[in-house]
Amino acid sequence: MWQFPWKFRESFTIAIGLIVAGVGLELATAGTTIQPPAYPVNVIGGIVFIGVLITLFAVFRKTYFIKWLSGVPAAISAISTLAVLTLLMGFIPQNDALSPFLKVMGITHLTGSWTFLLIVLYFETILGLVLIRRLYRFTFKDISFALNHTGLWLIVFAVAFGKGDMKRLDIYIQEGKSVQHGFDAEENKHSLNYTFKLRDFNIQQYNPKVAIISASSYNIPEKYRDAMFRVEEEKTQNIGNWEVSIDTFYKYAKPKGDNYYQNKEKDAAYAAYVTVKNVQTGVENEGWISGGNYKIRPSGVRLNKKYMVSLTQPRAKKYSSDIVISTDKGTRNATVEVNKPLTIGKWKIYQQGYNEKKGRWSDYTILEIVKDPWLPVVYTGIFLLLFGAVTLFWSGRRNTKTKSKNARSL
Amino acid sequence: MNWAYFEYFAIVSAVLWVAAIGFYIPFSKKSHTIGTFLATGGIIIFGAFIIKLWINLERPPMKTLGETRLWYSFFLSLVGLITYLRWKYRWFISYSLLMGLVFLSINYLNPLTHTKVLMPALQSPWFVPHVIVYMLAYALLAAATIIAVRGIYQYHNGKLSENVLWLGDNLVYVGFSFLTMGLLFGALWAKEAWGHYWTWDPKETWSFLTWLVYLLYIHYRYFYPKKQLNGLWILSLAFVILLLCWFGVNALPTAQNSVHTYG
Repeated sequence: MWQFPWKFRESFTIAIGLIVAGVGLELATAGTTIQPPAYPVNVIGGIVFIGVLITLFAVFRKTYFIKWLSGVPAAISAISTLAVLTLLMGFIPQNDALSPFLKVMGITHLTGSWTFLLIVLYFETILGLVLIRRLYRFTFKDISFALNHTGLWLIVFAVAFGKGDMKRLDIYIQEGKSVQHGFDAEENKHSLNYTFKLRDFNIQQYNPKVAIISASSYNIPEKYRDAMFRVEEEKTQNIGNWEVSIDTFYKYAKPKGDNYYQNKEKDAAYAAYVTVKNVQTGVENEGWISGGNYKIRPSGVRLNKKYMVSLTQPRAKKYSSDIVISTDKGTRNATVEVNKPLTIGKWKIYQQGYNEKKGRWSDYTILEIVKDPWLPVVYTGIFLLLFGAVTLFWSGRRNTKTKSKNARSL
Repeated sequence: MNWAYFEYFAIVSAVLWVAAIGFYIPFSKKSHTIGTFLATGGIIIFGAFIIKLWINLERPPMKTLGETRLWYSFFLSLVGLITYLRWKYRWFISYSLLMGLVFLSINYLNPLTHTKVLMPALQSPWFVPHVIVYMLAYALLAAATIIAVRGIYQYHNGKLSENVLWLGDNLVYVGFSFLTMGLLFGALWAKEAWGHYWTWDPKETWSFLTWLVYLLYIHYRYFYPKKQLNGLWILSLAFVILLLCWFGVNALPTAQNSVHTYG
């Protein structure tokens, strides 16, 4: 071992050494999550990193060490160790509160740990050197290689160095009110150059479902879960041993005594008048059912001691916020919807949530405002990698040994 | 009801596929041709069911695990058929159809209710390409796994042929190409829906891991083409990770808050 040329054992020893060093650094810093540097430190860091890669190649490319560092065994060791860290992340919830022991090892905040940082840098160094080596004597048949490796290198580079420049803030706006600030993940308040006013929050819901629920806990028992059906006037369907007929269905109703009346005012709930027949005994019951809401208590038709028929809580189909955005330059009306973000300046605004307890009567909206100046680099990487994937599809695996001797390009 | 008479379509497809496998057994070209017709018929009928379900549900049938299994059965049999027509490995189409049947049976024995509900985050032009590309990748990589498992068996009998490995590598390359597209489409969609292209959500973590293990296989095969057995084992292991990513994630402790869990 350690005799050049280095192969598998040396590569893995170094990769594992990096993991050990990472855990050591993590222990030394008592498991503090690394805060990624922001502009301009990260940009300088990125330039230095690229400079180091180019210099290493330009000056030392004929040394065994750089040959190893830009070779497949080193790449395999980097991919494998990155896979192992990802596997850990896949099994262990990334939450420092989980265990103080795992925390000081960095395992409950892996993406912010020294171990991960060192392995990603190892990965990115190898990928970068491999790439420079191939681009240095580029021929057209290397196109698939170049697209895939450049794309991946750019993505990892932008994610690693750009992380500190990303801003994500949640903005809570009451209907009719204006705000000029947002909160980050740690609940710190940040002021913004924009004022947001919520004119209206719109929501469409799917009608609730008719379900058998436990009369004590209001939960839906597992055995009746698949038999729920969407409420619809004049529909009759069986749930277990009961035949449920919907006689009346109101999208907006309010209770008065034992009855529900159509009422479109604020805080109205979904309600239906149903007849329930026990298929075995023939006994019939009827009455109003409603899933209720934050103002109205749920009601149901009793089936026996354990169960009753009621309506589920409706689920959202679509929701959006009509907002007014003001700056010192002027105002603008806009609508933000899920999957349809809005761009203002360098920011993108997303519809994120609302008062789910109040459902369609939500009195506020939650928007998210995001700035990621490195996004163009990431997208360039993504599109190169996409093109690379297509070329991979066309070229397939060139048979290295049996079919042709010179086609050793990936 | 919403299942759109799944059982009838499933039974007809299943019978056709089983018959096709039967016709591929004897050494007779005529028999193989009949097999190919039967397999094709089964695929068409199964495809027709998926279209019918799509119309009935008024949304793409790609939300639940059960629905993705439908696409998987469909693509697996299709990949098997195309590969057979191209390379003429009879055992390959038989195994592909068999795997398609297994996933079809899971849906038959465990019929999940299909609702029309499609949560706002899924209402996006990215939804269909993301899922289709992934299911096609999964089917291609399953096909590669068939070759890996058979390869390990043949290796120990001293009968492993280089051509079969070459076919396996080609399937991995095409499958990996689709896997990459699925991952990147997902990232582009996530940016539109959730504000960031990558948040290490459990499903993202596992799909990245799956991608890495196939990446490892490609590099390993490239550098050590003669260490065939190790390559075959990596390929088999990669599929285990893939299955964990597809079905296992919902059950893991890390997935309690996953944005990828859709009822």
